[in-house]
Amino acid sequence: MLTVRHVNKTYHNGGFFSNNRQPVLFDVSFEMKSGECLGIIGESGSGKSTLGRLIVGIEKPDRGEILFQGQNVWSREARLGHISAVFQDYSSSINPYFTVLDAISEMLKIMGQCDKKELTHMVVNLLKQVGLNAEYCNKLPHELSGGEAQRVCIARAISTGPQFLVLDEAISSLDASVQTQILNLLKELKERYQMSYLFITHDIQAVTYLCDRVLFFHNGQVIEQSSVSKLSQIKNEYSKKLISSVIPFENIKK
Amino acid sequence: MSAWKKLKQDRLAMCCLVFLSSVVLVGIFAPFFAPNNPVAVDTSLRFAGPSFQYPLGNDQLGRCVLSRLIYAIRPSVLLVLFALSITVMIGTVLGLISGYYKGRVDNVIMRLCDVMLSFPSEVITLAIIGIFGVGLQNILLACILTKWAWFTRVIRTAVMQFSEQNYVQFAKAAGCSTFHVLTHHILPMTLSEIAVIFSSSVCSLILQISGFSFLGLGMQAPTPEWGMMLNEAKDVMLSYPTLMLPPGIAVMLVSASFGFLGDSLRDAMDPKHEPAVTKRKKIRSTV
Repeated sequence: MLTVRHVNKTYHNGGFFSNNRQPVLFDVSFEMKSGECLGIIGESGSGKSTLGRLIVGIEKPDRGEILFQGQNVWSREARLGHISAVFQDYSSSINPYFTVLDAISEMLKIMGQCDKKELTHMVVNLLKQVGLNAEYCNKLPHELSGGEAQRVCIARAISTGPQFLVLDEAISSLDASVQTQILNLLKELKERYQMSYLFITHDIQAVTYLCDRVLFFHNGQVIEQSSVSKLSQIKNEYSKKLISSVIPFENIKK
Repeated sequence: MSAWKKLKQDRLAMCCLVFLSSVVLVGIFAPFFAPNNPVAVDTSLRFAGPSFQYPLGNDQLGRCVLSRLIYAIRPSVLLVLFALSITVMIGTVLGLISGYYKGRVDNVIMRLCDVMLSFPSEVITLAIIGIFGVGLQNILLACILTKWAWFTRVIRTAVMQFSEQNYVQFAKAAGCSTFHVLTHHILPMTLSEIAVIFSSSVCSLILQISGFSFLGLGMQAPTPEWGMMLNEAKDVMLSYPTLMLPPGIAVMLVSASFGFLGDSLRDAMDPKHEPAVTKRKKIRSTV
């Protein structure tokens, strides 16, 4: 369903006449099957968020191509209604001038749904799906807590019934108990709507909970791929280090 | 709560708004409001005090001060608003392009702005008056030429700040068109910024035009203009000091109102800002 082929990305740094470019992604290739949930793990600065931005078409790769169902994701029409995203920082995820109703119905309106009653009905329905009630419709973003805001973002992301959702650190800035709630919500939604997730995070536990397959990312390269059930058999030194950094923590809990 | 509702609760802002709209209306329909012909000279009435026929008295040529004051709204306020609207439009379009697309386009526009901003605006104004001759339209042209760069910079900064926000990223990712993103997510956010710079430059421009007219470079006699009225009153400052009051107070009130209104507008447009009145009511209702 999603094919990433030899993607390179560099960022311009320096002034007007400078030609210095900072490489961020180097020859990244992978594939995703429909209904699959793929986790991307790497430390900060490894380029995983940049990859997310390329996949949702916010930025263009320098070289290589990203195809979604055979179409290049850079074209808006290929994404509209099919790809959606949830970002890390919930506080700036919703336009502060929009009510929850406006925010969730935005994409529905663009998709051609304009009957007001029908829209409200759909939004209430979506809110119910993410565990919020209809009273939230007229709230403004700054009146929501972090967990609520992230739920609204998820409702907004699934409003067009996309087949593919990019979750860029979607749970990282929430506190632990809310993280579990959101993870459960995501798992539930995934089964209900048969969506595929690309789950970008640095939290290995969350990945093992939600994903089928993991990509390890280091310095802008995919260094290893493994299915979640075979995490113990990974070979690369760096991915071992990443995994082992969680284990002592788990031992203490036990 | 909508911005308009909040603005309605702000008494100072409403006062300013009512005052300014009546000034604009009186200016547009000046012939209906002015009691006399503003340029009719009657030397028998030189420096006459207030009377029924001439409520604010007469000036050194026996012209009706009130009528002159009313007719002067046209150049002093209406033309200034018109020139500023053009400037804001140029600034908004360039600022949006520059802040949203960044990169090379941004670099080119910003260097152009730098060039324009490196000239002192008074010098440009004087140069344009020197080339095209004395007159209000040339001062306004000079204003547009010098101010657009400043507006572009301010709006660009706001746009850059907002275009990095996650809701813009989401809209782009979900497949909204650039036009939709700009009109729904970026332009509304920059409006409060625009309101503030607009109102503050209205003040400075009214004062600037009055200043140039005072120097005799703006409006030409006998057309009335506030700065020029001040200039004429200056000659008889010691013998008839009251002649300075009407134009002086008019300039002061209008620019102060614009200033206050701009401030209130910014507060009203910020959804996180709750007016003091509702806060008080809320506290009372919880007690």
